[in-house]
Amino acid sequence: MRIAVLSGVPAGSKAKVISITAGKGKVRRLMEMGILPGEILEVISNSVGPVIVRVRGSMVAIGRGMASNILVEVIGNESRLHHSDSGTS
Amino acid sequence: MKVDYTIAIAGPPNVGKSTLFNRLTGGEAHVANWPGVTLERKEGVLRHHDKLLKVVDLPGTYSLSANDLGELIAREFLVNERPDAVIVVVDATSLDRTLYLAIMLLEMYPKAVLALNMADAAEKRGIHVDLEGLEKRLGVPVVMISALKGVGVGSLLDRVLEVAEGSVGREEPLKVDYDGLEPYIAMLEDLLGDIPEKLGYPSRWLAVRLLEGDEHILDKVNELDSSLAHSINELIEKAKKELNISPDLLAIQSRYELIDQLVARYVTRVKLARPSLSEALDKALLNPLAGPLLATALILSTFFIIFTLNTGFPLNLLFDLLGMESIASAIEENSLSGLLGRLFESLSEQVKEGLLSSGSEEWLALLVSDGIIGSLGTLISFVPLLFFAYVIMGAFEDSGLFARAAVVYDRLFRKFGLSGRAFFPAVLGMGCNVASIISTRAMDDDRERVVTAMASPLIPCQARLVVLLALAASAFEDPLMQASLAVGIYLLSFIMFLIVSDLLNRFVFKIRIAPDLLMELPPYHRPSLRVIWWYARSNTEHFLRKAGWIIMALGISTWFLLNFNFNGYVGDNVTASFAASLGKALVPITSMIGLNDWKFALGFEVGFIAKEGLVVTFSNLAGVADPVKALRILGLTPLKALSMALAMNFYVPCLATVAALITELRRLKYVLITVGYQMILAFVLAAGVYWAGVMLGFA
Ligand SMILES: Nc1nc2c(ncn2[C@@H]2O[C@H](COP(=O)(O)OP(=O)(O)O)[C@@H](O)[C@H]2O)c(=O)[nH]1
Repeated sequence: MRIAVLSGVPAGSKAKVISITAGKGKVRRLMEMGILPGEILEVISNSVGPVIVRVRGSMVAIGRGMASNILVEVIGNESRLHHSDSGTS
Repeated sequence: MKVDYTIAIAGPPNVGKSTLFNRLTGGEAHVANWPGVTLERKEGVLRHHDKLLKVVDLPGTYSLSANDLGELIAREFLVNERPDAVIVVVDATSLDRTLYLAIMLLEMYPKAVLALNMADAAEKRGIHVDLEGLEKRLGVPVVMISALKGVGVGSLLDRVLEVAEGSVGREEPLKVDYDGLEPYIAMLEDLLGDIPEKLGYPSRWLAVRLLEGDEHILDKVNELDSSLAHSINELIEKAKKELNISPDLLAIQSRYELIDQLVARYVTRVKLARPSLSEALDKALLNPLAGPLLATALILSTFFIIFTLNTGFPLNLLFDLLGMESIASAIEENSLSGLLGRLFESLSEQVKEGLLSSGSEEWLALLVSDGIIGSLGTLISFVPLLFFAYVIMGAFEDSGLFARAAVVYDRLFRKFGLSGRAFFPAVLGMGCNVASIISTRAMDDDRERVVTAMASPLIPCQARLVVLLALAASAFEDPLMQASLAVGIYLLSFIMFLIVSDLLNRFVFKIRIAPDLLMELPPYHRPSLRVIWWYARSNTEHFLRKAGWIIMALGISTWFLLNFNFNGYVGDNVTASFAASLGKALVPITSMIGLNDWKFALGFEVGFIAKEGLVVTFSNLAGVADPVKALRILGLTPLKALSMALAMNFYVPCLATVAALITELRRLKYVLITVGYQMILAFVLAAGVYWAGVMLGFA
């Protein structure tokens, strides 16, 4: 088990949301789109731009800045995890 | 015509809400704005079983929490206008996410019908929903439909009528089990007494909203009875402390728990089909290197088609290059702007002759033939330009490609304080700037929206393309040089779009950080012709209604300026007209960019009405129909042509664009800044290039 920010989770992994730290409105919007603590996200693409995840069957693009405010627990592909990527570009 | 029932359509984005709205109203919508905001309010009417129904399309939102304007509008509409029934549209292939809005709505407003859309796609994917079970559990009619294919819409309307008449449906809003929050909800409800009733909200709903920290609701309660504020706050604080989890998270989780239960119980999947093509496409399109290139290539190749259809360019140049001039000119003549141009030319000629031979005065005949019919021609010539741009854009939007393009361009755009969302308006601008300004409505960050609208007129529209091509052709014999000039101007325009956005962010709004991107990527699918037709038609109509009279009025006024002076009609002697005097007054300025002839200045005046007016004016002044010859007769050297191309491309967008800026931005200051920076930019670029050229000996 490994804790990371979403922007540091490589594509192909699954991650469970632990917490989100951002402005109130933004957190709420994320949660209402299904990205809320306890939910499992599948990271589809994560390289330089926005992070793309599958959540509840839909694909959602999350800006890198916002993705670095989402704390997750990585469930798969732990070995490929970037250790120090804070996600800000 | 008396409306029997008012029906609202609600739903989260991308579930097919607009498709259903168009299906119900046959695409005949009345478009207005919601009071005080530039969010579109679409309304239409339809008849079902002898009942006349008014259908209102509510903004597509993920929730009703008043996170943004759309959510607030949808919510207040329900409370204030109390529709006889609400159709809540969700995506049957993605119930575990799209039901969220439905649950929120049912908690607030019981008179609803749940429409599970995309029945066709659900069937293909082996998704089966127990409609009866879901209907019993939720207490409102549940109907499976395909808005795209028109399946189930009749029975949806039957159920809507039943709800409107009150024969089926819920009396009370839906109750979600909020678990640990329940005791506080009960206490709040007690505390609030009859306030919810006075405000028009269900009491339980109001209590939950307060616990979730909804400031809009808190303000409303305070307005009514400010003595409660303290005890309400105390209760919320108490809940926060005792629960060890923020109440809004708990509330959202409880709703999703209910959704998970519903899905587990009433939805079965008989096969698990993974859309592999879509995954392969995403791999390529979302790739940080290949993605932008692919998206650009796709967009360029489609614009190649629109441009060729509308103006002949660039296919004509291609044939020119290959030495097949006759094919090239055939393409040009048979392009839409060529055909329409000739049509209106001969129409105006015939009308003029008819009027003159029946003895009417010359100026009157010319007013009708040139002033009125000519302006109408300008207006009509916009239609294909705009329509095709919307067709292509509609197809891109509908296929799901544009959302991907927004993602891959996000990184580049962020450097200039915009997000990938600005990509769509920028590209649409190549079709028509009016369209691009209107399309910024979909952007949810206010500052980004205004900046994008202000910068997007820099993108050369198709009208400017027409002028640009004439200038290029008059300046260079070599088609390769002509094409380079045109492509160069386009590149420069996109660079300027980004730079100007950055400057506006820094100096007008004093914020440099781009808003975060958060958007859903809808699944790919083959664009539907019907959807594209609705989209293109309604947008084109909207433009004509909005800008049509302005274009006509200004076109006719310009005709007066060109043909009259204080002594009346000037006849053939344009040099004596008001417009010429104005042109002469402007010569000192245009001389600085090398255009030291009042005729050029006059061209710029007319070009303000519509940029293609520039070439028309030159043709008139030179007395030849072919604008390229006209430009040569007027003595345009290659260097002057370059200077004029730059000035023409960047100076004030056309009249219709200014009109769109006024109606969309609603702040005179922003409109003035836009017009101002464009004038300065055009002048500086043209003057710079001209004088550099002169010094290098190109004059
Ligand atoms: N397969 C399928 N696609 C649909 C259906 N209804 C809408 N769509 C597509 O879903 C996408 C979103 O539709 P739209 O009406 O723009 O969604 P809105 O954002 O909810 O207004 C479009 O590409 C539609 O063509 C349907 O019944 N079946």
